[in-house]
Amino acid sequence: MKIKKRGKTLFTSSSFFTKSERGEILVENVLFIVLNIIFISILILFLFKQGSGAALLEQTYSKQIALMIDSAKPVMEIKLNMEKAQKITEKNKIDFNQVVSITGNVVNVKLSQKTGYEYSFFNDVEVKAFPETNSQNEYTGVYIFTINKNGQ
Amino acid sequence: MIKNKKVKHILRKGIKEISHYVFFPKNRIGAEKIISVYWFVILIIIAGAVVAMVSLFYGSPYDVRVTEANIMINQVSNCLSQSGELNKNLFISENSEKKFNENFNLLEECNLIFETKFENAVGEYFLEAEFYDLNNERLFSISEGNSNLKTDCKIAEGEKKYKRLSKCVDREFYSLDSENQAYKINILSVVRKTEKNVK
Repeated sequence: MKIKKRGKTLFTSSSFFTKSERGEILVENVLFIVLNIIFISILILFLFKQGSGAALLEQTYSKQIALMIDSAKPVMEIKLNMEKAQKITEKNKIDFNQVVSITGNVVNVKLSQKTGYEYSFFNDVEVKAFPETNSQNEYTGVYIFTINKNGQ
Repeated sequence: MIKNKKVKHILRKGIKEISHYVFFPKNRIGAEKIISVYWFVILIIIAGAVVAMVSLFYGSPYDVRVTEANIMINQVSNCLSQSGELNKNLFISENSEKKFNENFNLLEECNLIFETKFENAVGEYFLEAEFYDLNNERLFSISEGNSNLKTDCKIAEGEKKYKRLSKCVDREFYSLDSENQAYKINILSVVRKTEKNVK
């Protein structure tokens, strides 16, 4: 295929980067654009990875759960969507059942073998946390928190 | 066409003057124009700036102390005044005279627990409820927790350099007792938890 303009051949599909001066400029431009795209993609990937890291999510979830318990009243059941945490635990080979643990008035969220983040709440209630499962006994990515009066 | 050629020539000259260090040999214009040391220096500066900003942003923990203090005030105000009427346990009658109950236990009545099992955790909370009449005269006050934290509230509220101090939230509301006497209740809630909320 040839593209013609006023009788002159601009480029042919079979010989993209050959001979003419215009062709060599095109190679450099393509290289420049490709390098820029690679650079920007690496930056974006870095940003996304930082924003969805296990350590950051552990902190977010534990504080969120503690505040949620603080504002809850006895005989409440709260469901929290933790799909992001579930994805990370699948990567890190941790049972989703062990992600959230509550001992006394301290919430502990653990998304990898080595890390973990704990935060305390001031509401004197008894809290139980367990993951929701569907009919096939698979985790749905939702955690259920039941809040009762202490000693019940 | 002649004009275009002239422009190209000038450009070429200009570029030769600008780019001294080039990665590729002088094979016409392209490489000289783009892949120069200057360009890579700019890329490194941008990448460094992005990494620094991201680590600064994600490196500091989320500060939830103000939210926590607000939730605590909600809980305390709900237990001190239910449906606009003050909690009956706040009052005792002595010799047929109604008085504020000095033994009112804020923690028990409002279902609060201030102890934490963290290392080096010394009194992370302070809570104070003051009762005023409508002439703004203080009648009674009750408090729980680490009273040393109260001094933090008086030091330059909101200034960034004092971010390691405790966070204080102060709110007031009006309520009636069983004899329809009105009171103004001022609740101060202070949360420290500096290690978990400030870098």
